[in-house]
Amino acid sequence: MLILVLCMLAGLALVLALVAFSRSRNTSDCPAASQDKSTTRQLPRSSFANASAIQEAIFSREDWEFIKQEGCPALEELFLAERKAVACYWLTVTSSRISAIRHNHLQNSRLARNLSPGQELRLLGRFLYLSLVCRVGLLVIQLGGPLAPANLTAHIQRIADGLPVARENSFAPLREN
Amino acid sequence: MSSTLLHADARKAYDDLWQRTLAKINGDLNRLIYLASTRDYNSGRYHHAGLETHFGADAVREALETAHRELFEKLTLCSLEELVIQLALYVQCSRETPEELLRTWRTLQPYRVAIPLDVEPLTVHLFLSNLKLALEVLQQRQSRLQDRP
Repeated sequence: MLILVLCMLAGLALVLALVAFSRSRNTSDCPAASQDKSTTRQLPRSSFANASAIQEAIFSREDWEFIKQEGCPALEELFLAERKAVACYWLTVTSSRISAIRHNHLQNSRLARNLSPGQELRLLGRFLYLSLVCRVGLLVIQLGGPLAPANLTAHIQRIADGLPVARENSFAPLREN
Repeated sequence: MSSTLLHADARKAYDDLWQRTLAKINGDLNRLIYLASTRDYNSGRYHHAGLETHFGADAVREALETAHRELFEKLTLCSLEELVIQLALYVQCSRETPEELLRTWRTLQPYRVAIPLDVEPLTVHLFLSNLKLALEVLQQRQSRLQDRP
């Protein structure tokens, strides 16, 4: 019984820490904001120049308004079904991309000589937070429809775009010597 | 349209393609279908006999491929309303009747051949989904027109 209570407390503490982390996050402590863009290296991402544009297109409320104007319930139903499929796919792809970045980071950090525990912990928190939010996004789509998590997915996109830069900053590889 | 091409010849071929050919085609969906038609079904390589006499085959291939990808991305990211307009324009320019064309496109989905190579599955998914919706919008409008006394 005591173990169960302790596990629940630990879980609660983790969730609170993640919420606090997401709220305290601002542009000044985000490495992406302070990093010189010319020196950053991009990790694999969408072939689009602006990956957030595709996120905006998928969760576009403008499209829904247009379909509603047509005044055909069957069309509205089709739109919601189609967008739901695409939205779920976007979240799945994004989640896979985050996992791949995390995997790469773990592989590279094994060769690093000056790992910063603080930064590594922050990155781990960010990875866990993104994975959690992707799952929440899928749940929101199931409950509230494909357009419901528009703000949430924009938030995911912003943080995911910041991940590669955070990885670059996190350590210096051994091969530098 | 702006493009990032590696070779100077390809850049020239790209500009020529836009000025002499694509600018004269009405609508981005028409342009996309045209560019897809310059690609060999089996090899996936692009060919344009007229351009190849002035520029090298490689430069022309690069120019056609770039223009194709750019138009595909533009149409994928445009609003559904804009895509319906583009589709209506395509139907209008076609020699087929709207009923016939819509029926064929909804059944056979020939627009799938307009997808460039090496684009992300997510992009393809969104493009096909949007085109399917645009076809249904036009079909609904067409049905309404026919129901009118």
